[in-house]
Amino acid sequence: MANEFSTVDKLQAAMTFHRERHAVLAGNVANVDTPGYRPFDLNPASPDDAQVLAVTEPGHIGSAPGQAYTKEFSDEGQLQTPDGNHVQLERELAKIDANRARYSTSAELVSRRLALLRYAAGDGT
Amino acid sequence: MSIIDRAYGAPGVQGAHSLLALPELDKVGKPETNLGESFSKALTDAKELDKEATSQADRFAAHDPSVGIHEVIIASEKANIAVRYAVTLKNKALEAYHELMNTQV
Amino acid sequence: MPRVETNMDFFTAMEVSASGLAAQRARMNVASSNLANAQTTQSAGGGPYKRKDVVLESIDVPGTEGQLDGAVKGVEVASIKQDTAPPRLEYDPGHPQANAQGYVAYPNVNPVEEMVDMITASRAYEAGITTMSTAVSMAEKALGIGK
Repeated sequence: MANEFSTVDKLQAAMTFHRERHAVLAGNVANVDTPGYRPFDLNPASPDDAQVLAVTEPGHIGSAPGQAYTKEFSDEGQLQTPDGNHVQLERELAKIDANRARYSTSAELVSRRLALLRYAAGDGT
Repeated sequence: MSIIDRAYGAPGVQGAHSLLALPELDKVGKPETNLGESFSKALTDAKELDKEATSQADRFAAHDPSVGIHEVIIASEKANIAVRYAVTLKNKALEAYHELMNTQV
Repeated sequence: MPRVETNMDFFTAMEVSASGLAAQRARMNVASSNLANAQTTQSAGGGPYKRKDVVLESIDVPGTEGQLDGAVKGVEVASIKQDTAPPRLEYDPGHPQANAQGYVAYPNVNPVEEMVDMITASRAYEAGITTMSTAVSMAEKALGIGK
């Protein structure tokens, strides 16, 4: 399974994760004034479980490799407003930016990896 | 060997005779390192650095907190340069080989 | 947790952000309507204008039902309800709407509260815009792969 593109596949799985996490965080921002709303977050499986990452669903030929994660409420230790809303806008925005930075880095790495592979696959000119 | 030596110094067309194992050309020139050795060293380096870059990228994708953005990008660029250097040496060797084969004796 | 296949993309995230923007705009509209009518002593239903409030509710985003275990939530305006607080009475016997005791019923609107509401709505709106442009810049980054 370890072919030239295995790193690209892993990075792709990470990018999918960050895209989904962005949707979740965007939901938290959208619900900043919704009474009783508790923010969610996605956590990647720990790096020790690296071998469970990037597992393609069996039987899904060519489907994008996925990444294991857990979903949980992210409002521990946070103040809540009188209407029971737990969203802290600044915290969510910081998470969104960090998430974007990691997504961009993965995209950049994929780009550079592919450029190197393309170079090596050609005659090196 | 410094990067300048690597870029402009020892290995060149005159190193090709030992790569191609042509003993009668031995008196032509005696460079400090021959092209074959340089190429093999560059190839080993490229392999090592590529392995490092791949492992860093894999760990970044797996959200390993010890691999940050600049670490992974720098490792990737190191591998990039090493691979390009190895390919350049390979092209030089081929060039030298063709030149020798086309020499009229 | 085993991975679940999802089919959401950046448009999903942008729809979520758009729902948030619409909700904040509704809050803004209601707050400015309350402010504009802070002195309206006669409304269509009789009596002074009554302060209105937006009730928001989180909703599942179309296309994400059951995915990510329902972690992606949009928002919508569930209703706009009237504030039940009593009107503010002011003694002004010369006023045409004064009652027998000489008191005029003014709307239960506190302009300072409305201003605060407008500021928080505007902050949340800006945050929504930022979130949406982040989705756009991420999508553009993905478009640049291989270039």
